[in-house]
Amino acid sequence: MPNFNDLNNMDIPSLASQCKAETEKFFRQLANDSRYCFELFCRACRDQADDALYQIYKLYIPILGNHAKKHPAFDQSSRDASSFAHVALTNFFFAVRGEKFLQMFSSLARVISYLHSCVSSEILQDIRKHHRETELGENPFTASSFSENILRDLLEYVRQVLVDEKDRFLFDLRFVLEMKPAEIVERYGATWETTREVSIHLYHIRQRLRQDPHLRSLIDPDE
Amino acid sequence: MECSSPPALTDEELSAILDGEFDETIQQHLSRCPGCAARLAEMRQMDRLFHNLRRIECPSPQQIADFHFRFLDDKHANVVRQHLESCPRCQDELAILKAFLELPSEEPVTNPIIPLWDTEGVYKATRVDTSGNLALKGQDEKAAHDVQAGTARIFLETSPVPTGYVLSGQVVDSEVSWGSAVVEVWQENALQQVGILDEMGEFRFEFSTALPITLYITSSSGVRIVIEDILIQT
Repeated sequence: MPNFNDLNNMDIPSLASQCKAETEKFFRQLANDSRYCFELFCRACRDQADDALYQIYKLYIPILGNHAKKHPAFDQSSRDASSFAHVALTNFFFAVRGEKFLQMFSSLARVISYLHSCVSSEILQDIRKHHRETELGENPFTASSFSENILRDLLEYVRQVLVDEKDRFLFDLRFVLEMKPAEIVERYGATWETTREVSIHLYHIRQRLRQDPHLRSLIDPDE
Repeated sequence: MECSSPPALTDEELSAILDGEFDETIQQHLSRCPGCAARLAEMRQMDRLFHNLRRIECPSPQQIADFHFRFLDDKHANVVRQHLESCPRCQDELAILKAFLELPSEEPVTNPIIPLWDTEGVYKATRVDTSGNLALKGQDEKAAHDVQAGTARIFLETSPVPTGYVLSGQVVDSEVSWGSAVVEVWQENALQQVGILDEMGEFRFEFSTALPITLYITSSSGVRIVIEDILIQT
């Protein structure tokens, strides 16, 4: 067993080699020492040592890529697992680098768990983005044409136009959370019992919004 | 335009189509009736405008993860907590994250690190005219290659050293901060080195071989650029 001085004095190639060996033991469910890998992460993230960061990329991108494939939502995503692992590891580095690293983590298990969360976030973000693009199709009003502030103002405006609280709630479910009528009935069956009921309610909401001159001018500037 | 197969679809039926609620009869009507199809297209315009509002009030998946790990300060944690109480989509994402974190890790069989520069959202660098100073440097042993990627101008120099070759450079950008960005150095589709740009956006890498180099740089704000096939002059 190495003591802390041994670890502190180890060069990065030796640490990387030990980390790799201990990781292999871990995967074979053998007794292993996680301190080498934790120290390697310290050098990469806390000290921001290029060599250590390279070793982390080499060792962990394949592992994270493998894990990404098992993500519950991976099949809905649009990219390959290695790409998620790659971007997640870079995001991880930016989130934890410097002195923050030791404030956030005291064990390798916690580091790996947070790394996994970065992979999950990257996959879920990809699904959010691609779901929106699929829904929008060839949309003349793509989000890139509007700043976030303009879109927030638009939402606020719609909420003012829809005076009824139930209308506003359904608008949010359908357009902000993009729920289809069947999902709305499933989750909010006490409010809407059938998909037809939801459809009719949405029809009235659309009719109300289409009558609003400001909203009409947004989709047809000539009006 | 009038309906060519009366009776025309009602506005209520058209609204239901926008929600994916329609049967085969309506679909057939739409396929043979340009008049009703045009009314539907007009109604769809406003829906498309509203679809831009999707998840606009939701925290990012990483903010939800940071909330789960208790890495957010009290103020931000409260915002995320309140949002989670009322947002079924974010509740689902948190449940997915928790399920994912419970999964055991398995040893990868073969999972090589693949290049990422063909993914979307990456600015590919293109060559630009070499600036005066670097052109002058290029007249001695150094070769200058200036490139542009998005709003970033990257000044690159390669030069021989006793142990091989050096590639040095700087990323200059008025829009994006490139200090402390991560640089991946690739040769022959294999990751060779990883480095961190200094505060001035400068970097320096040594190579033992003169194979073409590809740099893949990610800023801390997530902007990514790739500079492919930098040739070392031998």
